[in-house]
Amino acid sequence: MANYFEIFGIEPGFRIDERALEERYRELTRLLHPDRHAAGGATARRMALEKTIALNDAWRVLKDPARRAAWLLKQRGIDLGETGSEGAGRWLPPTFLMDVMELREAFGEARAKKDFEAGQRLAAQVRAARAAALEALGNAFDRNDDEEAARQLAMLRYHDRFLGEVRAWEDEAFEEEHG
Amino acid sequence: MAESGLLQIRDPLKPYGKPVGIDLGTTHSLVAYVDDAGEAHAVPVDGDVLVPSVVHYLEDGSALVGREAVAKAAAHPHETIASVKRFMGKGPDDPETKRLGHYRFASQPGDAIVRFDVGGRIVSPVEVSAEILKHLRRKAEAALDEKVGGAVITVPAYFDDAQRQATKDAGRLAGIEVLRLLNEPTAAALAYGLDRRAQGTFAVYDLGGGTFDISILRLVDGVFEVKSTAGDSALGGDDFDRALARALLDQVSPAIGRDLGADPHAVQAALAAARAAKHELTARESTVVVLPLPERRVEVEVTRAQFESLIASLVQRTAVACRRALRDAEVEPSQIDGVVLVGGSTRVPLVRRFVSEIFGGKQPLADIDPDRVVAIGAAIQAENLAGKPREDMLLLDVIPLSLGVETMGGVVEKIIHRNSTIPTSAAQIFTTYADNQTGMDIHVVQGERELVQDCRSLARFRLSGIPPMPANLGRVQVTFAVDADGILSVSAKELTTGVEQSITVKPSHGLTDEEVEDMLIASLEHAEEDVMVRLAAEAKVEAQRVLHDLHKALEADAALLAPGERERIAAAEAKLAEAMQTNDHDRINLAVSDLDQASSDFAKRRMEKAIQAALQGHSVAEFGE
Repeated sequence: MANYFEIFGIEPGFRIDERALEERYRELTRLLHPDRHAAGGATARRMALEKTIALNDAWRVLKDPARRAAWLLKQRGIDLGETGSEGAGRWLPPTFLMDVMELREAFGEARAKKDFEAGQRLAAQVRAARAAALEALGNAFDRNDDEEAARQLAMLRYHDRFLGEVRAWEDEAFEEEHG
Repeated sequence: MAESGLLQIRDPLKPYGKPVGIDLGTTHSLVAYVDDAGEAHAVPVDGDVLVPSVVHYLEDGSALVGREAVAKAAAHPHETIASVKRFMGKGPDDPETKRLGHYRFASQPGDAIVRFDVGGRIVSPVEVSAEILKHLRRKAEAALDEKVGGAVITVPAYFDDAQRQATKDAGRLAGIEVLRLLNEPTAAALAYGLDRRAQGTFAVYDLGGGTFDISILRLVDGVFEVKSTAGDSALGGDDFDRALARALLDQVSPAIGRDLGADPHAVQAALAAARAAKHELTARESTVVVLPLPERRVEVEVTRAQFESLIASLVQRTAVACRRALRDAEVEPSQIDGVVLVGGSTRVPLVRRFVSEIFGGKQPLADIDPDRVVAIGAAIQAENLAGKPREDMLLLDVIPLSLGVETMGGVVEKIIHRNSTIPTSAAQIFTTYADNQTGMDIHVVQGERELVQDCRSLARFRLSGIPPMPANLGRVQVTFAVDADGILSVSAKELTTGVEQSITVKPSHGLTDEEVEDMLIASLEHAEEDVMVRLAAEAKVEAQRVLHDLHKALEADAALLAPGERERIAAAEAKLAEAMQTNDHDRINLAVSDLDQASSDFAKRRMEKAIQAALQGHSVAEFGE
């Protein structure tokens, strides 16, 4: 597996300067993109394509704190997958699972009743919880507490899944209106 | 030795032929180029830059394109194909074939694509599009008094893999080197951005004849980064025409005493009248529509308000895609610095009001002709790829729809997510489920829905040659790569043995490589030009390009050469120079490939050096031009 931090020439770690990362991405992509090598020979064109693909993969993962955290944890032997809640399940504290179930139930009810306001209240609650998990995730990395980081990342993903469902509901309502 | 006359007069440092940009539109197509002063121009064809995307087939099977074809449409509705773009990459049962129109479809059982019966022959959308491209190429060569070298052809951003592949096939069939497929909104942004030296976040709202795209881009220091794209590849001004034509036919039928919707001549007349009325209503509040029917001429008054009520729901539909694009880009309407209007259908006043409303009351930009802006952007990119590259400019585009594979129970597992920056790739591991299983079928689909049946089927791949072993032990890693054209390719490797697997691709809604090859050979046999001479000329151009690039590299980085390397390169170069004295394209291509081999380690070292320089913060402007 390619070392995404190495591709960007930075030290691995959760805390990164996202603005500097973006500038570095732009600089490297200017250098490597197939469009810049369209006039080159077959070797140069193939390398440009391969290197740009690797750069884009690294960029996708590093720019997103949740994917970045998952990548770092995988290097340290904890594999939660790049995204999704499948690999994350076993890291969830039992009390959290109870809370999730309650939230889901409330959300399901709101959706069935088309109570948009109740749905938005729940979404706001989950957004706040997500922000707290992200904060805690960073703190766990600062302390090199990988297991705590895995727990926070797992919770963060459950929040994202919930917010994805909120979005699906909003989209559906919007599409019905503009069908 | 006989030299091709074309090449003798050429400056060896200038690329062969003029790179052009082609906007292959639903209603109109046009071709543009960048002149020596760096200015982009649309090429006038028969007195206008817009060529109607209409092809008429004569009895002998030959084709008329553009205005000549339009003139034949009324008398020969079946033999005249308009809006062929809507059928690119579509299957014979696609909903598009059920819409109001005057086509006669030829369906053969088991056929993967739509085909038209145009009287003397059966043609595919790829062949019809190739006729339009050939026409544009010929007209451009006549107008510029120069051969067309390669082309950037634009496609709607929301085109799926099958539609892109079909467009590329059409280019190949027309004898055009397709430098790149470029997304239409991105092309428009390029034309605007370079014009204004803009920075910031922009939305491009592109409503053409048959397709709708919305893209959100960020412009920073000449890098055009597409953040998200969404759209509807079956929504456009054609649908406005159909809505009005349908209303007209319904209104007039009772008075005439027959169902006019069942008469292809009446449908053709109503569509033409509706199109004219739509244009009139852009500047006026009402207009009179004339329907020349065999019984009598019928005149109907249509007001702008009536027209707007007929198309309101269609225009509303674009809001869904706009909202999704904004959300995917994580941008609020208030954060958009400007909205660019593209496509002839954005002239409709209702559309302009609607766009302004969606993007928080911002007055959209439309000062570059919305019919030309896409071709202008394509020409700039063509010049960048095959002419004089611009150091500061780079386009970063995304894949519009997620790619996935079918898993148990007809559920889609997404492998590459929509709005990923291309080129990109992803690998997936598949495990054998039976003892001694030597083959595996993989079904690739594109779309956002969870079930296979709700997504677009792209292709079925058959992996074979897996070594026999117990179930679950055979592990095949399949790599999906999407190139800068947004087109997918697949490779596979058996992990325990490391053996590359052979893959047979069966496109769900496309032509196989063999079919395109056959069409190409058939068309070349009828062509006026000498095929061998053309192939040799193309091979020499490629050879010159490679030599030019290599010489520049050797000059810049001679220090990176290993002992003996320069001699090996020089020997391969001498062989190539010899080959270029002949008209044997195979020999030239082989010599080019040998030269590439001889210099490949050097090329790798150069790229690594440049990357290291970039990572250490050194200037790398001199590399990679």
